Amino acid sequence: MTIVFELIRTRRLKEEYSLLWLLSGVVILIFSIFPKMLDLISRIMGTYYLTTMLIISFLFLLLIVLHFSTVISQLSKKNKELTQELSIMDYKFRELDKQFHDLVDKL
Amino acid sequence: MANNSRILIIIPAYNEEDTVGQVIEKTRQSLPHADILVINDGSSDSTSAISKRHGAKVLDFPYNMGIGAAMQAGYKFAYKMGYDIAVQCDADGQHRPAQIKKLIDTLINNDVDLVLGSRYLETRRFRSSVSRRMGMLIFSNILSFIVGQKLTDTTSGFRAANREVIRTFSMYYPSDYPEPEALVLLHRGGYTIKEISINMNSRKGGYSSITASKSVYYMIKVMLAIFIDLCKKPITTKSPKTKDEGNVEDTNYIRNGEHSAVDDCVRAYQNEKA
Repeated sequence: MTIVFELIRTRRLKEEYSLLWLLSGVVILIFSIFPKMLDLISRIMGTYYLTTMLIISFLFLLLIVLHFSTVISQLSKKNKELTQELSIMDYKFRELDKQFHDLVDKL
Repeated sequence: MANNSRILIIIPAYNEEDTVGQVIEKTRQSLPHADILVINDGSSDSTSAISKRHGAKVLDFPYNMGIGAAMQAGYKFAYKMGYDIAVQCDADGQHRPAQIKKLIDTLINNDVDLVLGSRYLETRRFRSSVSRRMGMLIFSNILSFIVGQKLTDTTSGFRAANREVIRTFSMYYPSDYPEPEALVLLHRGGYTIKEISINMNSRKGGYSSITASKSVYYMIKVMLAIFIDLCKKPITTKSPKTKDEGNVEDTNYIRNGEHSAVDDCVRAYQNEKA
């Protein structure tokens, strides 16, 4: 959690993306303060202590990866749109540039 | 053919320097009043320079984005610049520019939204591997079933679109397997599609995006993509307005420089010199 905070503080990680990490940090913190809770969950699920821990951490990692996938999808979509706009702008600029030089030559 | 409609021929090209010039010239011969737009999808060869030399409008991508993104840039351009009809055509010389006219005539006379040029509609001998034809047949049947209309050549990249479709494509265009997916998209948007028969040349240069051995794999992937598309939220349906004039950018500022920002620039330039 300290690492996550430090990353946010130094603006290397946007708050938007850190929510899930913070959440998993909080959960780990809760479990380390009250280790009995893990025992309880293990008994309810009928699994060993270690397995429960693995399952929980796996779930969180899964969520984080899923979150990343959506972020990447958005980014690539925006990237595509930017490229398209850029190419159109570039075309317009070239046209204007041509017109401008023609005009200057005429005068 | 209505001569007052503005036509844009969109040619996406990725490393097609061998053929693109010829395609532009032939297209201009058969359709002198149409504008030709080449989308250079981050080519490493001289595709862009050759296209410019042949007098086409060129959109340059800084890196390769794939055919879907390139096509969409073309449709965005067509929408912004107020074109009435957009025709998409391959740069490898497979499509005969002489037949673009046929596509456009069908589009205007039949009052449909999209006209598709098909290689298989009439069984003329088009050299294509057996496995590929088989695949195409199965694939077309499935797609025809989804669209509820007989389609024979769903991967054809030779098609003409009216302003309604240009608008839709400029907002949303599939990127993975654009040709078949776009058909499903249009069908769900309530647009009408018509297929006409065309002849095609075997390719002169470049490589097909689909090799014969990969066609089965391709088919499965496209089917998956289409079924996912079917589950997606439907896109905005046809607008009730008869003609969509909105958001057309005024391109006149480029042409008559007398009363525009260009004039100011020139004056500023002269002042600087003086």
